[in-house]
Amino acid sequence: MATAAVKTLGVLPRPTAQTGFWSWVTTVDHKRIGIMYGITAFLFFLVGGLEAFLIRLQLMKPGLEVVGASTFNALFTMHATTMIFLAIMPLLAAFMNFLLPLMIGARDVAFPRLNAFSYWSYLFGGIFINTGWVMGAGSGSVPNSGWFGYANLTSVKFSAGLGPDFWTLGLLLLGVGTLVSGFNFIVTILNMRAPGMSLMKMPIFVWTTLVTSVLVIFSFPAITVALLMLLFDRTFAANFFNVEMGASVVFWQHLFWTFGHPEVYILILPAMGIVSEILPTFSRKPLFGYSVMVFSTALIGFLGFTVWSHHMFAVGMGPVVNTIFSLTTMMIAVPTGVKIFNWLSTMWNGQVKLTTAMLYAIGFIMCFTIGGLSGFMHASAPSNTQQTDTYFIVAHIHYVLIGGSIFAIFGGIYYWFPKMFGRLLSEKLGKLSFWLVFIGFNTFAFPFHFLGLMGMPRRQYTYDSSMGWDFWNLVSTIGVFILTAGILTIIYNFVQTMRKPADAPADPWDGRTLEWTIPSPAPVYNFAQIPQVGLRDAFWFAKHPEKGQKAADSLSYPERSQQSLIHMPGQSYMPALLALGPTILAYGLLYMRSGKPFAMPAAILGVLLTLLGFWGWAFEGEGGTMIEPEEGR
Amino acid sequence: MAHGHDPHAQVTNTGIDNRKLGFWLFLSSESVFFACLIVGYLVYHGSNSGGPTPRDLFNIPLTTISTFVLLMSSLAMVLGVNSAQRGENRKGMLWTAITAAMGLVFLGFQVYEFSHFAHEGLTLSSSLFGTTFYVLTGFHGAHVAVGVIWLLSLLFYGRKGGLGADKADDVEVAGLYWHFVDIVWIVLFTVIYLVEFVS
Amino acid sequence: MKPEIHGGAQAHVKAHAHPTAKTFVSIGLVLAVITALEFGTYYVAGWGTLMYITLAVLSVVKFWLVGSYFMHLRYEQRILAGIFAVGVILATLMTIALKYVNLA
Repeated sequence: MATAAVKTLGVLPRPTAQTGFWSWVTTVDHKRIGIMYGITAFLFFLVGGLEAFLIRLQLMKPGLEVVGASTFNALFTMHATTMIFLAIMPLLAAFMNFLLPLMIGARDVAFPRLNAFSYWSYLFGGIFINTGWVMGAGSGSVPNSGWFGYANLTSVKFSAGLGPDFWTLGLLLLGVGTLVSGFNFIVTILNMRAPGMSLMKMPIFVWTTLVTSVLVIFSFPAITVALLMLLFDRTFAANFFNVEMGASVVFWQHLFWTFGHPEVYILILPAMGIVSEILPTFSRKPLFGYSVMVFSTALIGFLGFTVWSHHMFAVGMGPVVNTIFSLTTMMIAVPTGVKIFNWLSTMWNGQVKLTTAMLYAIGFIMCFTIGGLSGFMHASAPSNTQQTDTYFIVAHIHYVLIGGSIFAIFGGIYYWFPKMFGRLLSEKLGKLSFWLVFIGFNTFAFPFHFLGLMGMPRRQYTYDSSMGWDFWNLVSTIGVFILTAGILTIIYNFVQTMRKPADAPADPWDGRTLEWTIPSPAPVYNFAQIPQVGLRDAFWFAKHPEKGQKAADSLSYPERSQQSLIHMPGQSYMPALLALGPTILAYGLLYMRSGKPFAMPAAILGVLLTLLGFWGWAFEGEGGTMIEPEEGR
Repeated sequence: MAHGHDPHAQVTNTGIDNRKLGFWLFLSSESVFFACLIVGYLVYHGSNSGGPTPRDLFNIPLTTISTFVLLMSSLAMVLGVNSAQRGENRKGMLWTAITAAMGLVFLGFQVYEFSHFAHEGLTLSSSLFGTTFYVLTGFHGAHVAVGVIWLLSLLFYGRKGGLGADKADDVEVAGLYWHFVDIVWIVLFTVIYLVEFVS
Repeated sequence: MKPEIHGGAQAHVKAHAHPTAKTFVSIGLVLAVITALEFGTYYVAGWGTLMYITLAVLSVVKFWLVGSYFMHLRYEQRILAGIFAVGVILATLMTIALKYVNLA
């Protein structure tokens, strides 16, 4: 297709490479950014999985020394930190990035360079937080104070190594990227929908992206402040969590969980959105109770800010506070439960097709419900005091995050793979992988319920045989082996499929939403023409009009004018540069406490690069290319 | 009367420019950021570890002057936005420069105050009051400093043709940031300084 | 990035009187007077809780004046004020909650 560079007005020329390494470094295309998120996140997922594998090896039998206690602390801290911040959130971000503009009929997000910056912040932050491994797993340089870094274990007095510093600075770097993508998605959704697509005609995945983004922009400031306070304590001898000077360690918990609770909804709402897209397609029925689903999503988002202290029932906040948070927590189960009934009703009387994606979606409903039930049990403050800090909580976490988020993500991979890569993953291998993953996951995680109620505490590197925990720990580790086989099958499927030619049809599943109206893989400009939307699930009703309906009522395209060149946003080096600056600053700050001579120069260099990044961004001019689209849609 | 019309303005569902919408979301988020820092100050208020207390150190007349300067800088800023939107390119530059200068004056007062307090024995480590005071007002000051750099960058941007209608949207966004930083100080002046002297 | 969509209004401001430089200077004057009043409280003793309320009201009024006039919210589409309000209200509620919950 014909392209022509737009004359740039700025100080620096904008890069224009379309292929090769630099085309990826300078891309601002939401689809490429989504794919980069997905691949990077999958690799980190494997890293987090390896950390879990080592944990389960260590706990397979009582009294083992596969890893020592110090290394074990690093393993469970990094397993959780990696899975939450470097795997699940970015995997969900991959979908949100790739799909959002396609689902609303837009050509890209509102701020393409900012979108790229979010990815580079993630990559550099993820590398930063893992740097400590090269200094030795048990050295204290790897974060080892738990993924929620409770004060004052994280003080210099009790954790003199670099671990908590890597953790604090790393999460700050990661947080900025996530925060700005929140702004990006909200503006995109509010401002860039195709003509006729009112908010209540958007795909439900777009709604979950919107509510998730709102949660991000209002919860991340809380953890940013908590981390800055900890950073100041550790680097500049401030007293925010210094008990000797009169500080409160519980204050850290309040700030952290003010973020932490909305965070878990950030981890699950997009996953619920994915499931809500897959189920209707493979039931050949619209999502049951769309309006109620939208309302429930918004309600979960809002209530998510009212429950944070249910993570602190055993801290001693008193009966009044405990009761209030028990009640709010129980309330939040209501909209969640409503969703489960809506999903079941979507399938009821539908023509259910059990593709791999559908199997994962149904697996999600089952396993997330189990996770939700254990969660509801935690909501009662008295029961919570028995369950907290035991494997019963670990069971809950893994049922909602693997049985929930990961299942949805895997389903989403199978469902949208053709749109992303132009090929269909093998259904045979897919189904095999599903059963291995499903059986493996339940085998490893269900015993955690028993172990928890039998009193096995979290975060301990070994146990004695006299406790009676031997059998279920062994079963759990066997489950991990089965799960690993499932993950390897997925990787094998991916590799084999990428060898095949990219000839998947535009609409392999008889889909309902706009991404299926364009070729597979999606062309760089998304839509040759922006459609005019008349209904929810417009594409479905255009293909299968109801009685008295005309296809053109659902979906229509304006007359193709002679001048139909499309302006694509300009590529840029600045997003990567602007992410690099703070990373170097972080390395500088890391070594300030120990007074290393390069610390201050590194910090100053980081600040200078950041300023250069800002100025380059502001003054590089519009750039971009004009493209003539292929014939057809 | 003519308003700044950006030739690259997009057609949006809400009718609001993407950058403006995005920036208000950012300001909303920053409100929560400052609230958490303010809460840190409030929960630890009263813990002085035998060192200087707020009443010992605060100079209300002086701080009132710096508050007044920052407030008037907001006036200068909005006059700058107004001029830019009306196509008064040179006035746009002038008011932006005045705003930046007033911002620097405010920062000067902050630097004086910090060094004076430190001289009196209040440091980041000396007590919870020291920690929370310096971090809260320090982050505000850092925001002002970023704002000054932003305004100076705007002056560079307008160095050839001034800041007129074609750049009015950029001046407006900078203005929103500046006013927000002023609003935060309005809250801080009361919550940190004035409440100390209520009897 | 130019999406070829035509939905929604292209309105920049609501159709009514736009503030002039004079309006802004008047608001600036009001802000200066309120600041002077705040300064005055330094010399007033014995009001107790009433003083806290007075100070709160004065700063809220300044906040609202800067937001409505200088930041133009009064003349913009309501969604912008709504977006800002959500953040400010959440910030206020969080402050109250975190300040008054037991930190022992």
